[in-house]
Amino acid sequence: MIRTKTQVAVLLAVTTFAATSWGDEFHYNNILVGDRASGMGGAYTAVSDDPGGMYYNPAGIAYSTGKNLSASVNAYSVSNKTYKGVFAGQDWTRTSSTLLPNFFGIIQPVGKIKLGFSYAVPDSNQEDQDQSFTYDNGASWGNTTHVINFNNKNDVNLFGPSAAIQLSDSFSVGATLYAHTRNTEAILNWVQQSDDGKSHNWVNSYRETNELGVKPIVGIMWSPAEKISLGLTVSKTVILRSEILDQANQSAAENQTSGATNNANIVLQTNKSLNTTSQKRSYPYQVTAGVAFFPNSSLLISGDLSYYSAYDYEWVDGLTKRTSVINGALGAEYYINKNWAVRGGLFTDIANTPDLVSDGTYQLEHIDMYGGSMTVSHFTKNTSISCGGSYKFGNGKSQIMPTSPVQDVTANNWTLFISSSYTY
Amino acid sequence: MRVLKISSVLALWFVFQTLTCHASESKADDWRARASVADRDTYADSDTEEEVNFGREIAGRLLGQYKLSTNVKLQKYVNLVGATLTQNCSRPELDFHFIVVDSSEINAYSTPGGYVFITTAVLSRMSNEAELAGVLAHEIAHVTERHIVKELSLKGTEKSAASSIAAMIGGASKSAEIAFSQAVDKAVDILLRDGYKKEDEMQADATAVVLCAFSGYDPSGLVTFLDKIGKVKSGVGKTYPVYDVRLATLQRAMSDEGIADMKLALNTERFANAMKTDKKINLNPLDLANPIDMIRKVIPGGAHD
Repeated sequence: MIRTKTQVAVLLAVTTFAATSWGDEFHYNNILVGDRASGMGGAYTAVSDDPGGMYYNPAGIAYSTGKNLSASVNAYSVSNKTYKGVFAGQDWTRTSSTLLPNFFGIIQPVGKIKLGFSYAVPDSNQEDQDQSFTYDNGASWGNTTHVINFNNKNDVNLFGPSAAIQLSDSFSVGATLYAHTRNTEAILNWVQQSDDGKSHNWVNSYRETNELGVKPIVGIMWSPAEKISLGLTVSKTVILRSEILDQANQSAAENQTSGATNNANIVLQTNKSLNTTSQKRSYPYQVTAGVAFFPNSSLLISGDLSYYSAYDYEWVDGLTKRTSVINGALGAEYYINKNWAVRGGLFTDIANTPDLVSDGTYQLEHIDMYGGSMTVSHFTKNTSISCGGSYKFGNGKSQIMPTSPVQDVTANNWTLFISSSYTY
Repeated sequence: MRVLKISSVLALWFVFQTLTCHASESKADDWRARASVADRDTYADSDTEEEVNFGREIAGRLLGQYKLSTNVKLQKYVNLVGATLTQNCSRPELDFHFIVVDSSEINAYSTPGGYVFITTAVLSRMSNEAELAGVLAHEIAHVTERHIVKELSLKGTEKSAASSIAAMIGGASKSAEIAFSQAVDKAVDILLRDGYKKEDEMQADATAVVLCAFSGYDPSGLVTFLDKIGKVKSGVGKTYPVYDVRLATLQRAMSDEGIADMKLALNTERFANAMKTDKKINLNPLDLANPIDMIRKVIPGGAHD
């Protein structure tokens, strides 16, 4: 009976491991997108007057200056997550890093309409972890060596056209139709071997998801008074096609006597074949309202509030539930002179998972994060280059083993980015 | 206490920033424009270079559509009148070229950089040199006021390190070439099909009469010519605005400038003599491969010959 519990627990741990690792689907503000927007903490819905606006509020590109405008952002992002006391009091730290082209966009006026095309990567990470450690695994195992090899990739790509038109001096509408792709791949190889050689547990799992969908973004921008701009967007990702490849294998033995040949204690090998399913992930409705104040040509202050609805869907691991989330962002831009500008921002990145309870099982981690960003930009006649970074951190709760006690977890992420825009 | 002090300083700074109107601030309804584009309307040497290249490209296109007049004497005469005007224009950095083309269409064109085209049909309806000067000055004004340059937001290619890095990161170099080609298409559309904006035409008229007066030509030349072709029902270029409105606006502008009653040179006889001359040269068809070379052959040295 004890043996069975161990096996089941470990097997299920595979699922939890994988689930906690897929990109960061528990947050919506994973990577700040855009040239100016990145420096302003993403508070850009009421500004949006450059290619980054196609992502934040397509109505804003109606106010873009320059006849042809392109912008691109390249980012290097590193995430760390430390689960406290997971293995007999030992912490477990996971690190992910990725270097990616984060955004590219181009705007061109066609008559009174501004047309554009953009590509954005709002979520991406890559873990490549090799770890081994020893701890006391309990009565029948004693000191046990663990070897964990873990690879995890997750990329969300958005690309598509935008259009915006100024209906009056103070009002514009716009829309972006993004194609959405999400590709994930998680491979876990986890071996536990008791030091006396009598017990072992080997788990190998593989999961790949490929999904294709659309993400329409509809926005308006209104200036109720001079130097004030209000923006509002509504968006939702709808998955049209999804494929999940899933495989998990386990071999476990506990307290085997030396020289045994019948291996009666080798108890489990499961799910050897690669299962394919087509369950579709859901995404929330997102409503973002922003306000921006342009007191003069050197200073800009903006703020955004984003609401993400609650939702649930059937997934490989059972019913998946997400709670509603409200994120906020504040940003400012200041031109020291016409050649140099600094931007700064503060933002929240609240988790969409329920709060963990102490007697629960199979609970997803919940980490509310808070961050800031800053960039310095240099302008020449028709170009700009920006360098900067963002940092966010948070504390929360996690249950890395399905039935283990809830642990404290800390997380942080820092991202460096270099971006350029070009008007010609 | 220290936090309070810092907060107070920040608050004061914010109030100062909010209330201070920067010198570089543009017009009130352009409050979205940031300080980095405050000098959008200033032009460097590289911009002029780009403008001339751009204008030359359009001139080539126009010469593909119109037949260059082989009347060398007439070409030279028109260039001399044009050169007289450009001595007083606001952009001495440009070399203007004046080109007569054989066409029954009553029109004149100018491209950025200083290529001015005038049709033989226009010349045939003129009565004196002041009218010719008025039309040429109007086209010169389109160039000096950068009407197409502004309409298409033309800027020179930067050669700074920062610009090169930005273009490299943004992958923009190819896009710039495409944009140049698209801009040429748009400029040709403005010249041959859509016309300038109404306010650009009015500004060109107002600038032209002042330029004529400065150059010793009777500023009424443009008025009398516009009045004349306003009565022509056919053959007038598609890009001209409504004449009565235009004339009224022009006469107001002349009054405002104090030149409405000036009596300056008309040079009627000299104009008539120039129009009589018909000394033609034979062009090698191979010259058509390079329209600008062809212009140079017909009009050696352009306006400054």
